[in-house]
Amino acid sequence: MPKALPEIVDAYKQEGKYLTGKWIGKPVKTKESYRHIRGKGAFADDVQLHRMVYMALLRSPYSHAKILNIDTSKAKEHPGVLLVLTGDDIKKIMRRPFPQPTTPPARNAVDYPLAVGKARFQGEPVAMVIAEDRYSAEDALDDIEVEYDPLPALVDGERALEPDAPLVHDEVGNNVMAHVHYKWGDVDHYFEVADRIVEAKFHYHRFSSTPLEPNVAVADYDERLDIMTIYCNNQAPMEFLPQLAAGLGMPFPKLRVVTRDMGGGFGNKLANWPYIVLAAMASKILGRPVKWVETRTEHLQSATHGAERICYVKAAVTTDGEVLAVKMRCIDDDGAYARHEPAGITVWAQVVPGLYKIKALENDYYAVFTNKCPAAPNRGFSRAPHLFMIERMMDRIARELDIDPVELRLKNLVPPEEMPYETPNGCIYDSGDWPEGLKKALEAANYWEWRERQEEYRKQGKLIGIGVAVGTDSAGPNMGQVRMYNPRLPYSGGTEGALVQITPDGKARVTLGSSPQGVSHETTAAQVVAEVLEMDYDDVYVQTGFDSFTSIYTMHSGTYGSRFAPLGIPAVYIAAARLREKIIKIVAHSLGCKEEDVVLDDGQAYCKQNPEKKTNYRRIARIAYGNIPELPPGMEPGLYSIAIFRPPFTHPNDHNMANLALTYSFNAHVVVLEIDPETALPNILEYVVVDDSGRIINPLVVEGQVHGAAFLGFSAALYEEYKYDEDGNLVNSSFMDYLVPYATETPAFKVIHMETPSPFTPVGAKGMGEGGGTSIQAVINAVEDAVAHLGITLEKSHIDPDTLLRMIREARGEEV
Amino acid sequence: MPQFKGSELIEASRETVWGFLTDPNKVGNCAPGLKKLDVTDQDHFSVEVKVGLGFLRGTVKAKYETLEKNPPEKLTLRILGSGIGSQVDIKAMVGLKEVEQNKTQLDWVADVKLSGMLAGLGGRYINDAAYKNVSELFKCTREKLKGK
Repeated sequence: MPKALPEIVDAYKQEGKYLTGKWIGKPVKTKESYRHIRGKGAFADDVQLHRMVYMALLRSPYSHAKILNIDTSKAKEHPGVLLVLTGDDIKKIMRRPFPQPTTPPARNAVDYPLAVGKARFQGEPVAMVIAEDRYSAEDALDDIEVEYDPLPALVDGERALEPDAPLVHDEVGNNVMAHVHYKWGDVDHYFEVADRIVEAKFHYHRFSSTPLEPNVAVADYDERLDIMTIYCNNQAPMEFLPQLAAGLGMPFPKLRVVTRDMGGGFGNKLANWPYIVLAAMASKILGRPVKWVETRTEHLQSATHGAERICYVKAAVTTDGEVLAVKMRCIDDDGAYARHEPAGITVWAQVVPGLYKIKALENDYYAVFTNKCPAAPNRGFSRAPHLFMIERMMDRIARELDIDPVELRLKNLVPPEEMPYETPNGCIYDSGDWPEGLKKALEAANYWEWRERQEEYRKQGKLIGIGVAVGTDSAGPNMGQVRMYNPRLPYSGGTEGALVQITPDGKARVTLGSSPQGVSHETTAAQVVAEVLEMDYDDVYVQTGFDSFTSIYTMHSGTYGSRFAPLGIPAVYIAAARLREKIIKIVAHSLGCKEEDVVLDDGQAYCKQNPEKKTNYRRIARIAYGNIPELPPGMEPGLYSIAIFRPPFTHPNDHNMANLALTYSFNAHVVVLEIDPETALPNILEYVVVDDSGRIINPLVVEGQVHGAAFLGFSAALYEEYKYDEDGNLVNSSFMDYLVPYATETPAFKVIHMETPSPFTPVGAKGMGEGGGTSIQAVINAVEDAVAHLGITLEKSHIDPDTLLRMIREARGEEV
Repeated sequence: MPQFKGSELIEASRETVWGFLTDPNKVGNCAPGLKKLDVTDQDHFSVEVKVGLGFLRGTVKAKYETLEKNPPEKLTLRILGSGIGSQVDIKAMVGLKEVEQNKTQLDWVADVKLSGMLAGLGGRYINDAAYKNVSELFKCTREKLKGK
């Protein structure tokens, strides 16, 4: 076990003493479902306020163009229009542009929520209209006349680094958003002693997992109280609050940000704040609530996309299949602005060697500006593309060495006896039996049987592919990871807050620092509180969403990075445990026995010696809130408990080493599919997932997350891809062309659970919502496996039937 | 950049057709979906037309400019349009050939550059829409020139 951990593990074992299994681990009905199945969800768009007006945005049709002139005079006269603003107006209102989270010279890029001087991606807002109703606002956009001078578009990440490439930001002088180069271990030595060097190029494509609900903001400035309330569906409101405060010139205590139900958010709702800032400014100017609801086309074209990554990979291997060292040179195409990126340039460092005992790694990563929609996290942010490269590379190595890809994996996986395992860059994989997990998945998918039959099927002209991939959802991030590219960034570590209160009626009230987007935080938090306080699950009320006026937060708060189970749940647990200790003291004093003799049971309490004489939470709360002389002497009245969980994260050291996530869940995906030789359409025959996300709080929730992650990966591999033409036009900006599979096209995922609690959190649950993107690599491995005998290799993380059919025909020497 | 081309037969002399096509007040009034026509001079005019492509509906404002005239044989022109979240840049060449007396063959070729929504959604509709609009323009031309 790495140094400095044993005492932490012991501390958590001690704190984990209240786990009885009465509520944790049970498939209790989710608290959120009841309102959703009745169509009574409380989404941001459900907010209707008195005198509310609507915002619409005029967006650039060009991906790159100078703005020569904007004439808003006619739009201002349009019936119902109250306000029209352009980039130049916003520039005057905001004292400075959005701070750029990167290093010079990229930091010189100028970013306003409306384009100033030049539009840098198709769909970038250039003007905004506020009107009495949404129709008038949208109609008035047609009355704004913009004179553009189109410029050459930059749409290729590799081209961005060429000296004669068009410049996205003239102020920067080149297109590099950030650059890092790390070496961990003696890479050169392993490349010298290796039997073989295997090389490949991979391309993680541009897509964005699709939420049902687009971005929404309602800004309500109350002049009387001088309070700005924002209802929105941002996944981490504390991330943009500083920028909102600066833009509006208002202090935090006057800014109330509220999230409620969210219709999905996979990272693509982290960077929607430029729109929130616009709505807030308009509300302050007009003194009326302003609502903005994004259309689907706006969402696809200009919300945020997951970054595209090109990687050149070299692996040093032995002939018997040991992977010694890996070198990568990668380029992230992050689009037009650094609005959350270039964080992805280091976030992959949570999973540098994948799940393998690779001894040394060299990673040279660039993030570049292009004339495309700005990138932001997408389910499996930065780690999924990295694991894609590793898992695809394992298949390539296996093929070159003529070893079965699962044998190669089993040979290199970190074995259970080495857990907790420290990676070459200082990350600490906490627990799990990964080889056993892979074996379970192979068995459930009849892997060896399919392998035997594959050859026979080929003789019959059938293209059967078997794809295997393993992944880890590194969860509960250490924000210090971004200091690896920019040591000046303010945040490091990773924390989350919670409040648990027993209200005067004996019920529990809970608020969370997280902003759940359909991931059942109300349910799992209630299960933990019910367990620790030994009360009924139905008596625990968890506030929906986040409210900066009532939630306990830190600057890391939010729902991203699979962080609720490893960081949020411990905060809830510790808050409840502290409250339990106070309750026991009150009971002991009130019933006249020792604290260790107090028994809590189903919302009631008694002394072991006298079980007949009971009290309950209602009576205890009445004492705590109202009958103060009956409290133990010196005890503070009330039954509030606040906890902020602090894991033992440090800044990365001078060698860029640190533990960058708190828990590392495991999954193995096995896919068997058939490719139609005439149409290249895939048909999934078998899909098995083995998942180990530590202690399961609610199996229904875990099952849903496993399905969701597998679905979105399958969807990205075979359906979802943003396609730009050479001029930077997004050519699939509606659901007619940007494909998302229906339930009818989605395979039935067979899910098998393993449960290895994390030793690093008090409850032992691991983050698992993102799934590490494993399904993408498994599906692409399967497609390549189906056609590899024809001499076809796949570079991209996405394959559509047209492309595959062309490859098959070319390989067969047929006319394309 | 998509290119479109076609041929039309018009029952009128080449000079008559030329005269029609180079008179903004005449040809401008044949623009499909015309809402408004403003003539600046012989070689420049602007129109506002109603457009509907799938769910993209609205008004497009377009400026017409004659680039080159070689009467009565060849005409090159440019149309710059904007509206419905899009920009359209058309460069077209029209050639006139008299096939027999009072029968003129009109050959046209147009390079069309689309940006914005039309580029995103246009792939699906643009072919049909382009030919439909051109055919409406020439249908109107034919009707106005009938018997002239």
